[in-house]
Amino acid sequence: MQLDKVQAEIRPRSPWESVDLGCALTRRYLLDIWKMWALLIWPMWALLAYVLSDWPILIIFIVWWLKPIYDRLPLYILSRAMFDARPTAKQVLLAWPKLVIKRLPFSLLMARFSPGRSLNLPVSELEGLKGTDYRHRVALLERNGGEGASMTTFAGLFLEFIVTGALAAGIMFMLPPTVANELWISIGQLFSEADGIPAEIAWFIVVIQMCAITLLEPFYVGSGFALYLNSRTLTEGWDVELAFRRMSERIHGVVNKSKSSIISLIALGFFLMAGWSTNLSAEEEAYPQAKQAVEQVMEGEEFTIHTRKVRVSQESTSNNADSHDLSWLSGFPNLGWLAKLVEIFIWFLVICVVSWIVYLVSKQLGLLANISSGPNKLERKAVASSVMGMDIRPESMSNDPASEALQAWRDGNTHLALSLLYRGSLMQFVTHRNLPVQSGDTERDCLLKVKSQPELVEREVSYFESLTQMWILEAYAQQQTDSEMVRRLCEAWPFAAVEGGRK
Amino acid sequence: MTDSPPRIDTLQSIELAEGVEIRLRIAGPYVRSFAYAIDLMIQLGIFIGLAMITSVVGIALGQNVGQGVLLLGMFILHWFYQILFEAGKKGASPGKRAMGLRVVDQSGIPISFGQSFLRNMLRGVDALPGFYGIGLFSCFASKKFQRLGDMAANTLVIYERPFTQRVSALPPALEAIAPTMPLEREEQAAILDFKNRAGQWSEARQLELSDHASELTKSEGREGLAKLLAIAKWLNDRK
Repeated sequence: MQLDKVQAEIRPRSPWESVDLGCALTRRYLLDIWKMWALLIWPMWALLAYVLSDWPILIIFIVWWLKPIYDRLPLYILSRAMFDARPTAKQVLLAWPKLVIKRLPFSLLMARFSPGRSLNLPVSELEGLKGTDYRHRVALLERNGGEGASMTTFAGLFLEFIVTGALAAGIMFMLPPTVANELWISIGQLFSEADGIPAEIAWFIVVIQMCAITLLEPFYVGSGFALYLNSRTLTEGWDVELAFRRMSERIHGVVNKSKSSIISLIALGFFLMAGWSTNLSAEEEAYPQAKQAVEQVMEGEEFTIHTRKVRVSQESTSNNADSHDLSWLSGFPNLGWLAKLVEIFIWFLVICVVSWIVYLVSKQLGLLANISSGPNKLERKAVASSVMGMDIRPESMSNDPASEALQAWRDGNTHLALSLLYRGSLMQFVTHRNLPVQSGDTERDCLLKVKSQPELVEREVSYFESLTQMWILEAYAQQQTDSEMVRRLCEAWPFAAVEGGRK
Repeated sequence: MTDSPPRIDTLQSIELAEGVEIRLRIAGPYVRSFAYAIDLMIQLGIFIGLAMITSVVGIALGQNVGQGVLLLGMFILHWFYQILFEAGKKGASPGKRAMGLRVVDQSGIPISFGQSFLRNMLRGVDALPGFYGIGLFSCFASKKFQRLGDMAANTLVIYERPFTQRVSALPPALEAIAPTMPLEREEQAAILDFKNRAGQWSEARQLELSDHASELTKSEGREGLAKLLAIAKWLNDRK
């Protein structure tokens, strides 16, 4: 066994923690294990089922009893994989016949009912101990983690029960209802009639039990193996050994490195004094000469340290009232004009920011509404071409939306009629009355803006208000609008027909 | 070895904001199912006690009242037993506490009530298709031994107490010797560990182990062992 090749972190663990490590270890090599399991154990079970096909209950019992045989397979794979010697399928196949028959009576009779079976398994299988040696060894190893091993066995039983139940429940879910019903009926007969378990139930349990063992047994073995390793770690100080080995490796590496750096320094010395040919074979001789060479090089022009003293006038520092030593500044030309410039620039920035904020606030409060309603070119540019997804450009509309709406109303399409009227009136407000509508405004916003325009004609405003109410009811509330009202709206169109519209 | 996968371990290391690294020791399916079995027993015990009390109450106040109280108690027991215990100060149900476990957030801090609520409400999913099939599968298959409720609530089940080893130290050396070169933290710990645990190893094993440190002691056999113990004393005194 090569401890430095171990694939898991070796440190002293509590028994339960080692069980967890075993689970993690098994999980890593689970596919290997299951592959070989399917190849080696399932045929065995198939043979067993064939021979004992008349007594399925007996199969359940024997499959359970023979667990130590199956356990050898995951243990073989895990114990080798753990030390970086993951066995190939061929190796496992070759080893298997020997594994099966080795000390069969012992493992099936004496060791079968030991509560710490998982921990003891490696002692008999991997260490190959027998008799008194085996008992001493087991007693020693069980001092660290023996109770953990027996608790794992109980937990393993519990888990096997759980997995069996879960598999049974899962299969019951998947079965067609008629078959499941039959199964339920025969399960019910289990308790009502005393003539034994019906065969189909027994076979069902056989299959589920085999699946459960296949799923769980590798983890149980892995847990036991990890418990065994942990126990040996504690009783033999594996973690200390590994740490010492790593330390030795490190120290060895450091010593080697320092040696090699001395040698490379010497080599450098050679290089610098090319042409200097003396006998420098022995290290003792080389060292002082190399030192000499280094000194010679250090005396060269390139390595001379130049110093320069700078005198600083006392005046400028005396001006400086605060404790910071700013005397170095005196070396610079007077930069007062630059400071003034920067100051002016900063004041300019501040004024810009403040006025911008004032503008934003006043806009928010509507104080600028009067200014923007004037023939302001900038504002005119920003006029929205569509509101709420509706196109309100004059080009997109007919010359006389009122008559078109009336036509739509006559056709029974009140929705179209109202939308034509609404779009038309909005367009009128936006293009001819300079209403500052934006594309994100809602109907309510538009109405508020219309109302807040003092120079709009009273008739238009009240018309728009009733139109908006009708439109909201029609478009959003999906209510049946009063047809007569729509007709009246069409006829009461307050805007004059506009030039520039689409004919 | 360099291109092989990292060594198997069951730790979750977390780097705290201060740059300190802590390690959570995550608990696996075996110990968790054991804890769950204990919880199940406790719940069963409470249920039996409740049933006896309500049958007495039922005689006094009528059978329907007793049955109603029992059903209400069952509901609370089923849904809030785990939630309340895990959201509490100990962060663990009685079964988990018995096994030395507790539930924490992925970052190692205690879980909130919301997390406790979520991870325990999802027991309904983990319990599918009966007998905790999905939860067990997820616990075995996930790297941090989490069931689905744990993943949803971002929680871990960890061991609360660190594992303490049996100490059986060798008699201390008479003189302390400083190591000839600076040692790393793990190496210092290993030397002290050696001194504290060597009493339970045979003498041959002690010599074998101290020989592994011969690069440090520059000597082998008994001399090396004595020197190693002297270094251990130096390390111990300096602390």
